[in-house]
Amino acid sequence: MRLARALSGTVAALSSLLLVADASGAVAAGTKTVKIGLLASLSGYVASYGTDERDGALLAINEINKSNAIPGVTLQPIVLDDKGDPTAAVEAAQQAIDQGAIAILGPTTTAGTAALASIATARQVPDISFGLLPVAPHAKPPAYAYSLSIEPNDEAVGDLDAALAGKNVKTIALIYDSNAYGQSISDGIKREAAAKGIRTVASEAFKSTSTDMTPQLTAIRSAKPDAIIDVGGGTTPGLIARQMYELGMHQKLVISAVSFGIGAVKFAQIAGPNALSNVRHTAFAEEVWNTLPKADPRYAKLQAVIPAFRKAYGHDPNGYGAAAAYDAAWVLADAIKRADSVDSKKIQAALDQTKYQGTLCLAQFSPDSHSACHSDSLVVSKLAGGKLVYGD
Amino acid sequence: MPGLEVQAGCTGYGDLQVLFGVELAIRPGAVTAVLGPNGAGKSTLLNVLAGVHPFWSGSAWLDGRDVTNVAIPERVRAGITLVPQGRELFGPMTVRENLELGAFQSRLPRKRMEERIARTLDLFPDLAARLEKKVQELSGGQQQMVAIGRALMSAPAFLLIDEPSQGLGPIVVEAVLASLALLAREGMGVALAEQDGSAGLKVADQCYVMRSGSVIWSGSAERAGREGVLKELYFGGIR
Amino acid sequence: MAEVIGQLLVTGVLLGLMYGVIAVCIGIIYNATQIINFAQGEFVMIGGVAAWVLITELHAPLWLAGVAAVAIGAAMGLIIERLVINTARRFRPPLLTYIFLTFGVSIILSNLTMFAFGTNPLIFDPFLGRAPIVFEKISTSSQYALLLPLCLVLLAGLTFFFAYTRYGKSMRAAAVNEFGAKIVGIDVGVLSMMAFALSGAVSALVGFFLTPITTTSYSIGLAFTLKGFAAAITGGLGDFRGAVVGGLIIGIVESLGAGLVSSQFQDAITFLFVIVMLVVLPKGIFASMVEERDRL
Repeated sequence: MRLARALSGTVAALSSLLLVADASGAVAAGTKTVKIGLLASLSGYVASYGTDERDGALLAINEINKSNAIPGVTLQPIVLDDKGDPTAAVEAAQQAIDQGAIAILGPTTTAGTAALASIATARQVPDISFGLLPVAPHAKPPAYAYSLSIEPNDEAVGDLDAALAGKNVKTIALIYDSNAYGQSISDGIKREAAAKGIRTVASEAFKSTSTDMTPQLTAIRSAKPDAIIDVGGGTTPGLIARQMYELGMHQKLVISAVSFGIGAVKFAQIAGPNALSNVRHTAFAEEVWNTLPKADPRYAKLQAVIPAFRKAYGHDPNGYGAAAAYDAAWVLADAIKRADSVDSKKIQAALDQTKYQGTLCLAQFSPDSHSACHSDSLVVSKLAGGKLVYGD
Repeated sequence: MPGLEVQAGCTGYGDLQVLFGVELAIRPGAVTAVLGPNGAGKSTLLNVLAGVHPFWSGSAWLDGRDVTNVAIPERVRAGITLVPQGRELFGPMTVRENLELGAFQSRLPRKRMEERIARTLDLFPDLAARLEKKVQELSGGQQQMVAIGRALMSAPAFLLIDEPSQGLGPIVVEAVLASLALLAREGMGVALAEQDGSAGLKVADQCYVMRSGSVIWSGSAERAGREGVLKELYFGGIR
Repeated sequence: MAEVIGQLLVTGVLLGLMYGVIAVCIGIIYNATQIINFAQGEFVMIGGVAAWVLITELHAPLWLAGVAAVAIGAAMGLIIERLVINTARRFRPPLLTYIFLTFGVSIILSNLTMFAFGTNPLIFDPFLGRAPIVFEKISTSSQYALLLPLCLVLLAGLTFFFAYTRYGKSMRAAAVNEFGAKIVGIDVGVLSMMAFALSGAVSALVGFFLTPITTTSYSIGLAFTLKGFAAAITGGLGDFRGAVVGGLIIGIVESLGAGLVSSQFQDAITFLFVIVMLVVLPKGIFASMVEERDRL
């Protein structure tokens, strides 16, 4: 009996404490906690990117909260798994918004970004995706009014890929992942190549889960291109480099941005040492952070972020995803601060005026363009000593 | 007394009881005929003895040892083997393979396996030339020989054979039954379930008559023939 | 053009032989239990992962890694049979339940591997070095070429097992007539265990050879299950000769389809072909064999 009374007393005391805490949160002078959805592929075929993105975003959110970057506001992430699947991404987004999220970071895949667009618009909650906006060449309102992308788009990636391959070549062949990302980027590369007077003599697709690209490479081999551009992620770039070597193909292989989702070391291991000399990679600054020229505006930021990531998670980022998600969180914080509000509509309005120097690129949004990174976001890199280094 | 016996055997399928307290004894060195119309429970009785179907109650005894709950592999090792209705052979496999599989539980070295196959072929010389043929390519009579031969490969003390004459011509039936009589003369206990009792009775020593899951008459085969038991059975007489 | 087709055929045949071996493994379990094992590809994955642990983490010699892959594949097969299949048997569920259970097992194995080893691909060095094998204008990696003797040896070994050994024959017997097998004293429970262990071991060995070519990771299993299953039904489920031919057909169609028609629809072409095959020859290529079996 006495125990029961004691217990009920404790419960009452605790609830009043909670009430006080809640009341103080509503006062502008105190710190207000707002929820944001953080969607990433923590399982599924792109899980190696997704986990990185989650970790990158959490690192940024932690920094934002600690440094009180948004005065009076603490961000509380709701981490959800989009499983690399558009349907799961939609469900996760619904769940996050239902729990009170004022904005969403993620999901990982381009297909998921497209699937989320209608919900973001309908619920008027801004979404900064780690995937591409799927409307070519740029996603524009109204369908994508609340969808933004931190990922360099087909223009940004395609431009450099084509330029790089075009240095000494007249013809190129494309080998690309048949998913939404691969198609979008490879279309961009084709357009840029055509504009530069380079002929695309072969264009072959593969599935993200493919392990044997010999048939595609055989077809490419008979088209005799001067260089081959690969768009795709996971194990596929390494396998392509290796299988090219095994098929006796000695063309320059340009591995498009994003493709090193598993990291250069793992790439080199899969490709094998003999297959590396012809490989070039259009990289994100993050991937070559310590060989980047000091003049690069991203240099200083990366010198702080990468060691912080390493300290927090005990390993280097597997790829650019961590940097993308890190930037996305900071871009959101920047917008909330400028909006001086946690109202989703006002945050979206502020996001549309974004100009923020991130670790990936100078992120810029406008009402007309919701893709953050533009041309010259990428750098050229090659493999030296099993590592990716800046330069051709 | 040595033999394979059932005491108060009851069993059935689902809610349907098929055997009602059956008492039966199969003696070595004799052919025991189990006769009765379709649905009398003859097949079920043999299946229960072979361990293929469980008892609801009652027990089975092999030479005084309780074998009621013994699993099939051990029963085969102990000397009880079934030649089921419909033969249940391995059609796409050769006669030799079928015979070898009959000795699965005997774990014979190659030489003794060959000896045992040779002994089986002595009984069914027709099969000798067809050893490497697939069983499904043989005639019905030859298949029945393979079925019996496969059972003999485990060197059983008691052979339970269910409707061996089904689908066979009268001459072949005669030959099959003669081989059973021969086996009994060599000391084996043979239980023969038959619907058409007239042929079976000729080679039988003992006879049980079943109807509706019970044994309604038992005695020597000679007496059964003399007293016209079968006629009365099929035209409804015996109480 | 001839060299393109030649190259594609080489790839198709090597790939196809491997699908054939996996199809045979699916057939072994199907024949012993009537279950279609949708976790078959996970054995391939586990074989590769087990070998990776030994080679990369424990610096064990190659042969030991191969032995370990086989042992772990067999053990996993046994564990699945006892823990899942045999437990389910007590409730006498419909056959479909078992098939769904194997699908569940596949997801669990894949997820457990993800938790234990992460999402990154695992790889170790090719057995015979990295120099490709070149013949005229056709070339392939030495590791890929190893699939030829591996698959042939495995198929020969399985053929011997089923044709000449006591347990091999008993497995064939149980496949054509389970009741017949029971009455001669064959324990079909033991056969079920053996089938899972054997098909686990063989698939794991394939995974061990495959990892230096394709890498392995938690998610690769399903693709092998599907291709193996496609090969198995093309050849007629449970028909080993058909499974090998089915595997070769799938491998060659896949390779030619990707190289000559459209690489974007590689899998679509393959499975479209399987559907057409099933419509034309619903019982598989060697349909007559299956019909013979039905007669008795």
